[in-house]
Amino acid sequence: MACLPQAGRGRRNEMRLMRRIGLLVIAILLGGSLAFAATVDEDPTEAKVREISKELRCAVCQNESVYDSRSDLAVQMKELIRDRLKAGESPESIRKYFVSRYGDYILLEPRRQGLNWLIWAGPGAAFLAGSGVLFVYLRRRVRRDRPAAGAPVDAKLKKRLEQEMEKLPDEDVP
Amino acid sequence: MRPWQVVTGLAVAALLVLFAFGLRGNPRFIPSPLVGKTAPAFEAETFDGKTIRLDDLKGKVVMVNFWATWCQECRVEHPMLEKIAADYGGRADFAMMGILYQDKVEKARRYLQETGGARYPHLLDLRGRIGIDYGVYGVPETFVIDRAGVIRHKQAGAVTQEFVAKVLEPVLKEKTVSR
Repeated sequence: MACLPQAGRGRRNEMRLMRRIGLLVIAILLGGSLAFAATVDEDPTEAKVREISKELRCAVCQNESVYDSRSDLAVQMKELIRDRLKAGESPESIRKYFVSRYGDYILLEPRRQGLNWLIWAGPGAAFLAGSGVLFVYLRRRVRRDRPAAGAPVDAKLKKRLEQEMEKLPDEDVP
Repeated sequence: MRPWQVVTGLAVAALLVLFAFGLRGNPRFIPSPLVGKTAPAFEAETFDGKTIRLDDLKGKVVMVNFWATWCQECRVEHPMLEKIAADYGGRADFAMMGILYQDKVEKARRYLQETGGARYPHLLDLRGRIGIDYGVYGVPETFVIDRAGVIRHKQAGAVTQEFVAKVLEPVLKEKTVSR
């Protein structure tokens, strides 16, 4: 029983550790909720600026959105979006403005209309068509390779089969 | 030949045709939706502090060239621009100007000194609004605006002798306002 006090100390240490972990968890949860509160409190104009600029291509960058880019042009574009929103313009109208000046290319996602549907639906359609072809091909092959019922079995093959069966331990053969 | 061989052959041929046409030409060429539309109005200061308004130039053919000192092709096209200014600058029905795109004025001043000065005015686009209004993707880009204030052409890349002959000259020859 000499080891009991030690075990008691161990438990106390354990409890202290647990309390610390508990505090840490509470701190993380609190911190998280604070961060969450910050996004909720964001200026609604800024949220809209972000929403619009995420859909626009930064004209001078390689495949980067205006929102992500730090180039001067992207900063100026965001400024312009902000000014227009403050003047009461709708996000849709601002998007239209950019398209009217730069063309559809300014939109990071091709619009779902007209020939653009080819880009959106093409991969899915190609996958389906490929699956169909593969399915038909495999089914035909399986049918072709399967011997018809009642067909005569090759004598050599029959003999081999019988030999193999004999090699098997008795209890496995019903 | 089996049907599937015919179908595969046709599909491969179709792809080759698509690539033959799709991969030719300039991949950076993006057609401007502004061609055929009224040129966006602007008012800006020149490097020397004078104000230029596009509206004041109605009735003239206007050539607007976006450029920057960090752009190599702009350096290449500079002599051609100077030549256009020398050949047509004297005409009362023609105006041309440069607009500095995403650049600093001190650098631009130095650049113009190095390249032998400028025969035509250059404007500052301090907040980038003119560049955005004209949908500039990359410099150099040159717009030709006719007498009615309509954009007739957007040249992406350096202006050339061909540009002068096939774009600028014909617009200059139009005597009547087209719209």
